[in-house]
Amino acid sequence: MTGAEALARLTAAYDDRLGEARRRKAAGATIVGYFLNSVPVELIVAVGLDPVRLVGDPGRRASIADRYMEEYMDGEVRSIFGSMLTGDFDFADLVVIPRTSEVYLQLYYFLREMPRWEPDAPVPETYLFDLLQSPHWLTARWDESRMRSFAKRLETLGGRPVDDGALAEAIRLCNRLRSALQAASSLWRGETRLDGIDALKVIGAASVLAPEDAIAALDALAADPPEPLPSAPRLLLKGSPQSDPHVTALIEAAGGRVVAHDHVAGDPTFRALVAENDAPWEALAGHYQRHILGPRVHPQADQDAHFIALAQEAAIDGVIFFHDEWDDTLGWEYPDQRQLLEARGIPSLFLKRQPYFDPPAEDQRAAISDFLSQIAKVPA
Amino acid sequence: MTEDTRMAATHAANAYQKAGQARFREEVIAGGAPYVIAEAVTPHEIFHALDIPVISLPWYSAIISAKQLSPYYFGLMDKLGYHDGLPRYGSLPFMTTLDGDRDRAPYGGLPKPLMILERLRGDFGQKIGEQWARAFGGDVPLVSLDSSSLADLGSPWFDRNQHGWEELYGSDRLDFQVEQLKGVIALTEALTHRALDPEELRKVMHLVNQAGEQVDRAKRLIGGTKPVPVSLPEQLTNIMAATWNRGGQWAVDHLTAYCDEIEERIDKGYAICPNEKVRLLWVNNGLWFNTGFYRAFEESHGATFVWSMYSNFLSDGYRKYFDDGVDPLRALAARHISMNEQLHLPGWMAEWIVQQAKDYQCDGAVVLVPIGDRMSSFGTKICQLALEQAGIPTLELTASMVDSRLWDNDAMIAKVGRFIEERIAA
Ligand code: SF4
Ligand code: SF4
Repeated sequence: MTGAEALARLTAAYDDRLGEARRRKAAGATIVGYFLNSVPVELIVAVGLDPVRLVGDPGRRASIADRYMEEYMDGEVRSIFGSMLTGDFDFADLVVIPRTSEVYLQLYYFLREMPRWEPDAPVPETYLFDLLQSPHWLTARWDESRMRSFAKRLETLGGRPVDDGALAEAIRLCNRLRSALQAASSLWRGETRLDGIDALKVIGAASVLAPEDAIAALDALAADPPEPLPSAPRLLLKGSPQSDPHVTALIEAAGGRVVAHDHVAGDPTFRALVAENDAPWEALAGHYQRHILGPRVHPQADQDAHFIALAQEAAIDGVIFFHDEWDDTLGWEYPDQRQLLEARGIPSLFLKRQPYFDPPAEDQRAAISDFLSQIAKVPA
Repeated sequence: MTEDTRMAATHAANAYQKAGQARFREEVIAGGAPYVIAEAVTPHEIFHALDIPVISLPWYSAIISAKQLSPYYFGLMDKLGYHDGLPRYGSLPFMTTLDGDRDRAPYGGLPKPLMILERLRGDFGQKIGEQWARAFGGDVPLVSLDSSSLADLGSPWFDRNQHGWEELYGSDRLDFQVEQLKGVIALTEALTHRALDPEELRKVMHLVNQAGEQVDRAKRLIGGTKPVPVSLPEQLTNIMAATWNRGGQWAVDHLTAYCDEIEERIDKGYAICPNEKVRLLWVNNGLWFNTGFYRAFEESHGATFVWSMYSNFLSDGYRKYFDDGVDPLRALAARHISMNEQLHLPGWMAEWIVQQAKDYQCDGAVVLVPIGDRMSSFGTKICQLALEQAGIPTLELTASMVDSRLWDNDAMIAKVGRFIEERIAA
C-alpha cells in the first residue's frame, strides 16, 4: 500500500462511516457501536467483537427526535438521538453509551423511554457503561467492577470469556493503534503534510476500521507521506467535539491550518497508552478514569497542562475555542485557559454558543478571517 | 394594605430562618466556627448530626438574588470571561468569593469553609468547586461525591423507594455510595476533632422520616380538599424551611403545627380562593423571584396553583425507612443516590408528576422550561406528553430563571390565562 492509497483508504472510511460499518457487518462481524472516547474498546476486542465509534451528523436532523428531546441538548446528541430512532445505526448489535458526560447519560434515558412512545422505531439494543472519573481510589474500584460487568454483557453477544491474557493482548493491540496515530500525527503537528481536515479524518477512521486495518494504513501513510503543504498560520482547535470537519473546513478556507485538534474527537484520543502491566483490568480502569480527555475528568489543571503541551508541540500561532450553542460546562474552564495562553503570548479566538445545525457560516467566517489577520505570523 | 392572612406557621418558618441566619452570622462569621458549603443534593444529615452548620448553594443563591445583587455578580462573571450561556444562578455564591468584597455579599460573605461538598451529577460541579477552593486560598478541600447511574429505572419509584430502596437503587451502587460517605465522615472528623455519634445519626435519620410523614399528611389534606386551604407560596415557605433544617426536632414540630393549622382551616371551611374552579400544577423550578404569579389567576379565572416540585418531595423523595440493625448510613446513601433521576429524568419524572396531578386533583399543568439551566429542562417534553396522555392539559413556559428582568409578567399572565380558558375551562 502506498502512502496515497493508505490516505485514500482512511479518508474513505471516515467519509462513509456507516457504509464501512455495514460492510463489516455484512462480512460477518458482530458490531458494538459506542459513543465518545470513554468506552474501553480493548474489552470489545478481547471478547472478539468489533468496535465502531458512532458520531452525529449536522446534516441529519430527525423531526421525530425533536418531539421528545429538548433543543437545549448538545446538537450532536440530538442528531444521534434521531439516528438511533430512524435506523441509521441498525448494523449495531449493541450500542454502548458511556456515562462520562451528562448529555450522553440523558441520551440513554431518553432512548429507554422510546419503546413506550415509538414502539416501531428500530432502536438498537443499548448498554449504559457507568464509568466515573473522579480521581479517587474508590472510583477506580468502581470502574474496574463496571469493566467486568461490561465484559459479561459482551460475552452474551457471542463473545468469548475474557481472561487476563486475552485482555493484555487486546491492550497491546489498541496501544499499537494509538502509537501508529502518534507517529502519523507528525504529519499535521510537525512539518505539515496533511491539512486539518485530513488529520481529523485519519483520527476518525481509526475508530471505524478494524484495528489491524487501521494500523496497516497508518503505518503505510507514515512511511510514505505526502509532500509538505505551503505554510499557513498554525492553529489549535479546542472545545466541543468536532467529529464533523465543517468547522475545520471553514478555518482552512479562511487561510488558517488546524495542526492540532484538542477535543474528544481529535488528538487526545491517542494521547496516552494503557499501561501494559500484569494487572490489565486495573490498568484499563485507571486509563479511562483518569488519562483520557472528557468533561468530567479532573483535576482541570492536569487537562490544561496537556493542552499547553499539545500547543507547544504543534508550535501553534493561535487557538480557536469553539463551544456548542448550549455549552454549560467547557465555559467554566475557558477563563483559566485563556490566561494560560496570554501568559505565553498566544492569541486566541472564542467562538461561543455555536449552533450545531444550520450554523451561521458567514459570521463564523468573518470572525475567523478577522482573527487570522491579527495573527502576527500571517504570511504576507 | 390588605390584612395579613398568612398562616401562623408561615410566620414561624420565616422567624426560624431569620434566627438561623443571625446564628450563622454570630457563630461562623464573627466567631469563626466551622461550617460547610454543600450542594443541595448532598448528605447534609452528616453535618446536622455533628452540629456543623451547612450553607446550601441554592439557599445562598436565593438570598443573593433576593437582595438584588445578582446583576452585579453576573457583571463580574462577564468581566472574568465566563460566557453568558453558563448556568449562572447556582454559581452566585462562588462569585462572592471571587469578588472578595465582604461588605457587598450577604451576611458579610462566606468565610473559609471546612470543605466544599459537591455531588457530581452534571459535568461542571467539580470545575466550579476546584476554582472556588483555589479562590479560598487553596487549602479548602473539595469533596466530590461521584454519582453512579441506574441502567434500569424500576417503576413506580415512589412506591418502592421508602422501604424497598435496597432493591430499587441496587446494592452495588449503595455499597459505593456508603464508602464515599464514610470518606466524608472521616475527613470531617479529622478536620474538626469531633466524632460522629452513630446514635445521633440514627436519630437524625428518623427525624427526617418523621418530617416526611408530616409532609405526606399535608399532601393528603391539600390534595383532598377543594377548594384548597393553603396557597402555594405558603406551602413552599413552610416546606423549604423544614427541608433545609431537616434532621432537627424543629422540622418535625414545625410541620406538625403546620398540618394542624391546615386541618383547622379545613374545619372552618377556609379557602384561599373560595371560587376555585381550576387546580393547577407548577412543574419544574420555582419562580422564586415572583411567587405572586402563583396566585394571579384566582380572581380572574378561579384558578389556583396547588402543587409544585417541592410540595411533597420531602415526603416522597427523602423518606428512607430502615429496620433496627440496618446501618442508617445506608439509608442516607439511598436518599440522594437517584434524586436527580427522580426529579429531572424522562421516565421517573413523568411517572411521578402524573401521580401528583392525580393526588392533588389537578385539571392542568404549567411546565416551566428554564433557559440558562438546561439540566432542569431535560425531560420536560416527555413529561408533558405523559400528562396529556393522562388527560391533563399542559402549557409550556420558557423563561430565564437567572434574570428576573427578562420575565415579561403581562405576557406570561396572558398566556396562562388563555391556556385556562381554551384548554381547561372550555
Ligand atoms: S497528567 Fe495526564 S497522564 Fe498524568 S494523570 Fe493526568 S491525565 Fe494521566
Ligand atoms: S430541584 Fe433539581 S435543580 Fe433544583 S436543587 Fe433539586 S435537584 Fe437541583
